[in-house]
Amino acid sequence: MSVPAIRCDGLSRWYGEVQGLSGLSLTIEGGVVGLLGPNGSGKSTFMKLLTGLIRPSRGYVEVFGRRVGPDSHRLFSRIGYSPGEDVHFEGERAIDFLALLARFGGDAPAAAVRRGHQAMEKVGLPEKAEVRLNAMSKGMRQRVKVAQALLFEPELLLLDEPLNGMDPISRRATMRLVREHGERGGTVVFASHVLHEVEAVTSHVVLLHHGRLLAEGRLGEIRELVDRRPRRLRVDCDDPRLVAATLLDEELACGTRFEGDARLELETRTLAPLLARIEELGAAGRIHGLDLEDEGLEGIFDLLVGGDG
Amino acid sequence: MSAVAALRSFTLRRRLTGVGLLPSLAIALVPSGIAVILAWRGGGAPLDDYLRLMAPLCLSFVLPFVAMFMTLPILGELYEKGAMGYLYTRPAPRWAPLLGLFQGAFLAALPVLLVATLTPALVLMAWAPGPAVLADWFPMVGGVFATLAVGAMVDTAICVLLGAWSRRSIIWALLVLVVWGSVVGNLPGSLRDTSPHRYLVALLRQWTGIGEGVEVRALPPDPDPPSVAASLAVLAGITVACLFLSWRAARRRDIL
Repeated sequence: MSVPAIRCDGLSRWYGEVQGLSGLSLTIEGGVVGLLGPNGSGKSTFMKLLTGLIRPSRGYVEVFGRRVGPDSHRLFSRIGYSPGEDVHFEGERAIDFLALLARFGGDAPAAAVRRGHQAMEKVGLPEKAEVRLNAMSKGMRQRVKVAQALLFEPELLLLDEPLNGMDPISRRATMRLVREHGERGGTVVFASHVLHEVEAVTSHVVLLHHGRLLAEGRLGEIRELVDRRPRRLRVDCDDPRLVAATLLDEELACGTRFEGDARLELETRTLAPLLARIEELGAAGRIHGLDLEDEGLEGIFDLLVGGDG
Repeated sequence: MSAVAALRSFTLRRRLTGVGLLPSLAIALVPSGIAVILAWRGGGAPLDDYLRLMAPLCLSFVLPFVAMFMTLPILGELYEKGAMGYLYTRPAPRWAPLLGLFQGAFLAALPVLLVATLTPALVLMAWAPGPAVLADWFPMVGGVFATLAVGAMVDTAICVLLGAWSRRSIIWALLVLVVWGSVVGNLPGSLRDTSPHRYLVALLRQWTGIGEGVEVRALPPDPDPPSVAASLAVLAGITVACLFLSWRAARRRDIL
């Protein structure tokens, strides 16, 4: 039986009175996983717990089957971590910064510099290796952060908001890099508060909100979950009251609102059966039009957050 | 170990180049400034002035501040800005960057302390009424510098511990190095025995001959001075203990 890349149980962390993460139980087998949530949802706290930079208040986390703690440095030959915070090695050239970190992986000075240049090439910045970090744009520094995570071609990549401040071309390149890492059999945890960024790299998402796990699974599964929650749609019909009464009687709608004499807004928890019934009513000439907006990822996220928040 | 060497080079480069050097250099030049004033006023015996004033000043004032300026800014930069997160997520134990930082800060302090000891001696020698007898001066300067080097080892280790342990490391360093070290270590009484400064003073006396021929008010008499071996053992023990406790502190400290 293969060991999951990440497993945590009852993982909690408080910062004094403030709850950073609460009772998170989760298993990530592998592949690219999007960690979604608004600012303050616990994404960075989870990342720091995964890397042992902070200690859990309760629960535990395992990476590749080993408990993470302050002495789990050997794990980091298999992990690449790009923190959410900016690079604070001011005055250092990008290549010096990368070489310093490569030496922490055991490289001799010359090999560390070579490895640093290779990492800069991977993120598409080979010509910027000699530039000082504080002379770089935020987007460039973000790419250097990703480069340092890639130094030793890790099995597990932990990227905390890696696309912040990047221009569209860099974003595409970084997203491609993430997808390729997953395709090669690596695991990536890609934290972001922007849903379309995650949608571009994976269909497997973990949604966090207020430090709690809101939903986890394939996007399709989350859509099904959403489908069980109230959705709104509008129909055009000649007799909205009769249509509303019919659908309420048949328990296909859980709420109705009339918009004039020929338009009805419906709220439902059973979208698919309702749509089938609307189709029948349409065939019978009682409904003339349907307005169902695909809420997309943003809508799903808003709905989940709104529902539980 | 590669990680230790890497952070040693990093710290050395950061502390000995650029503006990072200025605060400690300014402190190191204070004895030279006083030496210029003494030389300008004239009179007195330059070698006695050096031992009576410069040596205690270097030990009680220059040493703790140079150790602080060499160590705490780097630790602050690494811890407070979250940069330590980049180092602690590497396949190297947490003591490695701390040991590298200790070595780098200690080595960076040495040339600054050499300036603090040698420059006032050169000033006083230059202004001395007769020709300076180098054979008299250099053992004294060497003794002061050797004491400061041992002191830099201890004080740097204490600073590494305080920087790894507390977010208010500057306040703690002032309390430990200046109050407990220089002040308590210079006061007569049993409390002085607890201060590492007492053992540094013992080394200074042994290695320069202060106290045998020169009365030094800044260094109160010690009725039962520790031997050189005992002093070195105590100071090395404090250094090792501080580095061990730094590692323990680093294991417990969150990188936020």
